[in-house]
Order: sequence, then structure tokens, then C-alpha cells
Amino acid sequence: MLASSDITSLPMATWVYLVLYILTLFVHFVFMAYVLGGGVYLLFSMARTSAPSPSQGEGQGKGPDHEHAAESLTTPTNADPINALLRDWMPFAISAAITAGVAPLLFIQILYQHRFYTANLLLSHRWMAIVPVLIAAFYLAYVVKTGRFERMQRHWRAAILAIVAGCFLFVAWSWTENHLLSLDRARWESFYVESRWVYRSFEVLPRLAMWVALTLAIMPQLVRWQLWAKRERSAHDALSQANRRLNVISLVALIISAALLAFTNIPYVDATKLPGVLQDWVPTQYTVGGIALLLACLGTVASMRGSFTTAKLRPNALSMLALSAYVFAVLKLRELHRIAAVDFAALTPQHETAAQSGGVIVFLIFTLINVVLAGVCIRIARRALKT
Amino acid sequence: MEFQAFPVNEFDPAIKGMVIGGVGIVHVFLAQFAIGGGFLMLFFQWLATTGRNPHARRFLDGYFKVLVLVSFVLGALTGVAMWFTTIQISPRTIGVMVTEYHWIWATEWTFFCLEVVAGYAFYRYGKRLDDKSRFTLLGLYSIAAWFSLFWINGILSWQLTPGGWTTERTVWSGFFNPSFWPSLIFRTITALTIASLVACLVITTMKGVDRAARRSLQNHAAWLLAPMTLMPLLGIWFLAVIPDDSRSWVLGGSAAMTLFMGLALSASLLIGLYALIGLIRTRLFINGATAALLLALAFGATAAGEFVREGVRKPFTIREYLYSNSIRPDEIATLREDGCLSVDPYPLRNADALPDDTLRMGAQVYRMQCSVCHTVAGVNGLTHLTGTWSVEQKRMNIAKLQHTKPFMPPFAGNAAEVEALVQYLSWAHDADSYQTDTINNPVVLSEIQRWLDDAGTEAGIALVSAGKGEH
Ligand code: HEC
Ligand code: HEM
Repeated sequence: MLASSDITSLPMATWVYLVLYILTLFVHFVFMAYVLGGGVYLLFSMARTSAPSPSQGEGQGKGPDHEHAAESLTTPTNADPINALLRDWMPFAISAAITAGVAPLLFIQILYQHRFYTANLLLSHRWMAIVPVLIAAFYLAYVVKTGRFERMQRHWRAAILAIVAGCFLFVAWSWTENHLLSLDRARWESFYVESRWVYRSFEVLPRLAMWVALTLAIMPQLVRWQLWAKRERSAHDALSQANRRLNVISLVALIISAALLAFTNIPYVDATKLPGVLQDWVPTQYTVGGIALLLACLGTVASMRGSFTTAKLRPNALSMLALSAYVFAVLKLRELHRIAAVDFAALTPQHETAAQSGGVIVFLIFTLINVVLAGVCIRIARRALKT
Repeated sequence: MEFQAFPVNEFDPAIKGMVIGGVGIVHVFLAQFAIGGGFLMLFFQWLATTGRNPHARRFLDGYFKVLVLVSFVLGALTGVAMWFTTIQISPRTIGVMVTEYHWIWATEWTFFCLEVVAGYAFYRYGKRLDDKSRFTLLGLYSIAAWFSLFWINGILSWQLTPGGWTTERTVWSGFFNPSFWPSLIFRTITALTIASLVACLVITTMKGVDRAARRSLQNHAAWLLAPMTLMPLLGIWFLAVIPDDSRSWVLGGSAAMTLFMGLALSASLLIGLYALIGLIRTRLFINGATAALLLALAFGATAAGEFVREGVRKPFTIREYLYSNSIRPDEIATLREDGCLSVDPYPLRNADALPDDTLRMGAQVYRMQCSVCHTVAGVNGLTHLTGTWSVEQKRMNIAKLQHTKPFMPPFAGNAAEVEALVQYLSWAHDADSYQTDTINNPVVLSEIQRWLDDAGTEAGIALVSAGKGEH
């Protein structure tokens, strides 16, 4: 059989699926970061702050306006606009994270079909548990959004937030486990025979921690963007404090995440096992990732220094771009690691078979149409915001 | 051979069909609610804009919240659940589906995204919008939701009636297959029905409107129930396009299938007639209990319909291409030579519970070839089905599996594997009836081999289609 390193080039089909996989996984990560990072943030900010004054629990009783009670918290009286924003947008972000997850889910089934399914089957009930857990988290996130949540006793609120964050952690853990198990071919039979529910490996925890830290680095950048959009309706002091906090969290989390990366298998790619064309990619990702990391940190520090003006909230193009470049570098290394770990040469014929099926033109046409139509929806929504 | 085995999970005492059926029914019901709900809201927005029903707008906002809470959350996640369940039950089936139809799925996904954006924009800002903008958002939401049905319907109907795909192997020859249109219309009508019935229920819970207002809202909602009366016609159309053998199961060949099909159609007809006569002609008001009952009836019809759809595909998950037990017709001959266990690296989970290697071998053959439709002693349990059979009967009926019942695939292993399976089933039924060492008995094996050869490797359904069925 052909070793992967013997193939110098990759078929076009493989490139297409790989690129689409990484691009869509990146989008999934953005929303997922809001969900997981936001969930963790909410839990900890709950632990810090005291119960809100009753005046904040506006919109008493049931009624349609009740739904957006959390939104009203971004009023000047409120101390933590981050908290209010996250609560308000969490249900949508979950929807978006799930929907965005479907696309890489499709492409991974073409790229690594047999391994992905096998890991799913081995984890079995544990894997399927993702679904009810996310349903629970979703409904609880709606509860967290309502005014009723604010009027709950502190320990109830803490319990609900802990469950929500716990659910997201569980899902992240499951994906990490599934990924690692899919690569650990030697363990499959024994895992099956022993009917295990948990994949134990020293790689799981650092990797999970690395992702959680990464979400805590991404989420603040997204929230700053949202605060910027709402800056005119918020108090200056609250914004100033929020901005500083978001930058600190993002910076610290990014550094921790980068440090933790060294304890995962992601950066340790055996380049000799990569197809020829990909062998140079590894050092490139190190370089690009390293520079991006540095720039992201510098950008974040820059938006912290000096006295606060609302302009400081403006999405910092440098940190956003640099952070994105860093995440892409990590995702690419993650993929190179997997390509080197599996018998990739044996998989490319399957990609070519898949590419022979038609429908790609129809896909492109409808992608274009639907992007435009989604733009129409967003324009209508923005108009509503202005009135 | 490129055969790649997967680890097999069992769900005793339930059969896998019940697992996927259960998830499927819930998902289909919710997804259809989301689709029909879009059209219903569009209709009510029109009633509001044109002043035909002064309460329409108020109803809309309440209804939309139900739709979002139920369908955005449960609809989307049960969709993911459907996918994951299919992987659990038949990874090879979903693998083929993804390989063949991923661009269709990717297209469907762009519609999901539009649905989420339009739906969420309406949910968040709908109350502040003018009628025209509301109409646009609801219109886009409905179209996006319906198109997701359009795409998935092509893939699901292809599984039963692959049509031109069998020879051409192109996406579109499979997508626009013979049962595409009847299924699409069938599902669209069901979607409208479910949305309308939920509306009737939601209307009964509305506060601050009088009975006359509620009645007028219900009477408008009921218009979406009227197409239900077409269901029997669609049923006939559907039956006309499905394969002969599948039709024969529904028309008496399988009592359960006939029963379910009858149930689905009569429940649909009942709802349609009730709508026509009660709500539209005599402008009745229906209370919460009745609305809930009608909704339960619709759920029953959906469930029965899904059961039939899943059931009539047997013995295939992809007609003529892949058997339910994940073996392809063109692999049977090789597996008869080499034995099916040659391609399965996974040892048994309960190996220690079995006294010897023959029984372990039998259990493994059972796991690979039978466990997708049977259990050993639970639902559709093999020890019940074969309990009264002599050992020769078992040997013959299993070796000639596709003749025993044409909705089973041909046996895909060698003679020793048949014998191991026979002994395993005997042992599981009654440990004393286990005969050791028959697996090495050349007389037994050559007789089994003769039966295997007699039965051939063709699917049993060919016999039904040719009218040569032994039943
Ligand atoms: C595609 C699904 C499917 C597969 C795979 C399958 N069966 Fe069946 N089998 C059925 C159904 C459905 C029945 C009918 C049960 C009934 O009549 O209640 C049945 C009935 C039977 C019966 C009773 C037949 C009779 O005439 O009463 C036996 C014995 C049997 N199966 C054995 C097996 C064995 C052994 C295997 C594996 C080698 C197997 N089946 C694989 C679906 C399947
Ligand atoms: C909101 C809850 C979710 C969280 C917190 C989450 C988190 C994660 C994490 C941490 C990873 C990286 C795993 C690793 O490499 O170690 C991941 C990967 C992935 N996620 Fe999600 N996820 C969520 C929901 C979903 C859903 C619902 C889907 C599918 C519909 C999905 C699809 C994917 C896919 C396809 C991958 C790539 C897996 C791989 O390449 O092995 N995610 N997710």
C-alpha cells in the first residue's frame, strides 16, 4: 500500500473538502466560542456580583415584553453590560453554533468517514447524549434570558448557570473525545469489548482546557463588537469597565490557551508522514501562528491603554484579524496532525468518488441567493433597530 | 474487498427500527410543524394586512413564540439527533447518502441558515416592524423552511425508489425519483395540517380576546386543514409508484404494514372531513381538548406514515444497493466464500457468557447480519420465531433466508456460519438443545451449502415482483 508521504500532491477533490471543512469549522468555532466562553463567563460573573436590585427586573409578570427583559439591562443603571448581552443573545448563539456545526459535520463525513463513524459508534450513548444535553441547555438559556430569572434566588440562578455551562462543557468534551478516539485505532477493539463510555487518555484534558481557554479569548472580542453597536444606549462608566474586563479576559485566556497548546498533540505533527505538498505547511503554521499570536496580544493591550473613549470599543481590526489568523493556524495544525496520523493516501480515492456526485453548481447558486436573502433580513432588522 | 466493518451496538430488548423510528417520528412532526407554521403565519399576516381578521396580528406574535421555542430548539436538535441515530444504526447507509448527496445537503444547509436568520429577525424585531417588512421576513422564513423539506425529501424518497439512479448514478436521476412528488405533496399537506391544529390549540389559550374572535381565528386556521381530504388520493399515487414488493407488503402482505397504512390514511381523512364540515362549513369553535385530540390524531398519522415509509424499504436501506444489515448485494457472493466474520475485527462484548467458540461465532454472525432487524429474545426475537422449529428447519430457513421471507436479505456467509448461527439460536432458546461439533460435520455443512446454492445470492424480492412468491 502507498504511504501518505509517497503521494506528492493531493487530488482537487481532497483540497475542496479540506478547505470547506476548515472554513466552516472556523465559523462553528466563532459561534461556539460565544456559547461556551459566554456560558463560562456568565457563571463566574454570577459568582462575583450580588443580586440585582428589583428595579432591574423590569417587565414584571408575563407578557411579550418580558422576553427581552435582559436587553433592558443594558441601561445605564446596570453594572455589567457583558452579562446582559450574553444572556440576551445566548439562545440565538446556540442556534447559530448548532447550525454552523452542521456544515463541518457534513464535510468530515466525506473526509474521514470510517473513523468518524467508528468513534461515534464506540462512544454510543455517550455520544447521543449531546442531543438531550443541548436541548436542556437551550431551554435553560431561554430561562436565563427572561426577567423571571432575575427575580430568582441567587442559588437558583447559580445552579441554572452552572448547568448551562456544564452542558456546553460536556458537549465540547464529547467532541474532543470523539476526535481523539477516532485517531486511536489501536484502542477501538478493546474500547468496544469493554463497552466503555469514557475515552481515557492523557490527551483529553489539556486539549479540552485549551479549547475552553481559546473560547474565552474569542468571546470577548465578539462582545466588544456588540457593545460598540450599542454604545449610544449605554453608560460610559459601564462600558469603560466592560471594555477593560473583556480585554483582560481575552488576553489572559489567549496566553493560557497558547501555553496549553503545547500540552496537546496538535503542534506535534510528524511531517514525514504527510503527503509531499503538505510537508512545508507545518513550519509555516508555526510562523504564522506565532506572529498572529503576538499581534493579537499587542492589539488587545493597545485597546486597554490610555483613558477610555467609546471609540476604544471599536472592533480592533488588528486583534480581530490576528486572532482569526491564530485560530486558523491552530485549526490547520490540528488537521495536519490528523492527516499525518491516518492513512491519508487510502482516503483520497473516496474524496474523488464523492466529488463525482453532482449538485455543486446548484449549491453555489443557492448559496449566493441565500446570502443575499439573509442580507435582506438583516437590513430589515437594522431598520427596526433604528426606529 | 473494500468492506470496512463498524462496531455494532445493540439496543435490546428494542429493535433498532424502534430507535430510529422513535427519533424520526418526533423530528418529522416538529420539522413539519416548523414548515407548515411558516405558511400559516404568512396567511395570517396577509389576513392582518388586508384587514380580513383584526385579531390576526395579535395571534401571530403569540404563535410565533411557540414556533420558535418548539421548532428552533427541538426541530433543529432532533435533526442532528436523526443524523447521529442513523450513524448509530447504519453508518454505511448514511455514508453512501453523504457521498452521493452532500451537495444537496449543503444546499439544504444554506436554507437552514436563511431560516434561522429570517426567523430570528422576526422573533426579535417583528413587533416593531411594519406589515410589509413582516410579510417579507415571514415569506423568506416559510420559503426557506419549505425548501429544506424539498431537498431532504429527494434524498429520503430516493432510498425507497432510486429510479433512474440505479443505472445512471447521477444526483438528479436519484433526486427526482418516482416517489419524489407524491412524497413532497404528502409532507407539505401534513405540515399545513400540523401547523393549523397547533394554531387551533394556541388560539384556545389566547387571553383577552372573546369567543367570537377566537372562533374567527380558528375558522381561518382551518383552511389549512382542507387539503387533508386529498390524502387518500396521494396514498394511491404513492402506492402506484413504489416497487411491486413494497406495495404487496402494504396491501396485505404484512399485516402490521397494512394496518399502519390504513391508520395513517383514515386518521388523515378524519381530520380533513372534520375541518371541512365542522370548521369551515358550520364554523364551529373547537375547545382545547378537541384541538389536542386532533393534534394527537395527526401525530398518530405521522407516526404510522413514517413506520410505513421505513418498513416498505425492507430488506434494503437503499433500494437495490444496500441491504438493511449494511451488506451490499454485490458483496454476498464473496462473503459466502470467505465467511462474513473474515471482515469483522470486533470481538463479542459478552464472549465470556458463551460456553464455546461455535456459539461465539454464531453470536457474531447474528450481530452482523440479523441484529439490525431482530433481537435474540426481545422484540421480533429470533428464539420466539424459531422456537418450534427443528434444527433442520432452522438450517434450511436461514440458509434460504430471502426465500423464508422476501423482506430479509440473502444470508451473507458460509455454511459453517449458518450452522454456528443455528446452534447459537438453539442454545439461546434452550441450552440443552445445543449440539456440539456439528460445525465440523461435513454432512451437515454440505447440506447447508446445497440450500445456500439453491437460494442463490439474488434478493428475495425479485420473486415477489415476478409473481413467483411462495406466499
Ligand atoms: C431487513 C430486516 C431483517 C434482517 C436483516 C433479518 N430479518 Fe429475519 N425477519 C425480518 C422480519 C420483518 C420478519 C417477520 C417477523 C414476523 O413475521 O413477525 C423476519 C422473520 C424471521 C424469521 C421467522 C420467519 C418465519 O417464517 O416465521 C426468522 C427465522 C428470521 N427472520 C431469521 C433471521 C436471521 C437468522 C437473520 C440474520 C441472518 C435475519 N432474520 C435477518 C426482518 C429481517
Ligand atoms: C454548543 C455546543 C457545542 C460546543 C461547545 C462544541 C465544541 C466543539 C469543540 C471544542 C470542538 C473541537 C474538538 C477537538 O478538536 O478536540 C468541536 C468540533 C466540532 N464540532 Fe462542535 N460543539 C458544539 C456543538 C456542535 C454541534 C451541534 C455540531 C453539529 C451539528 C458540531 C459540529 C462539530 C464538528 C463537525 C467538529 C469537528 C470535529 C472533528 O473534526 O473531529 N458542534 N466542537
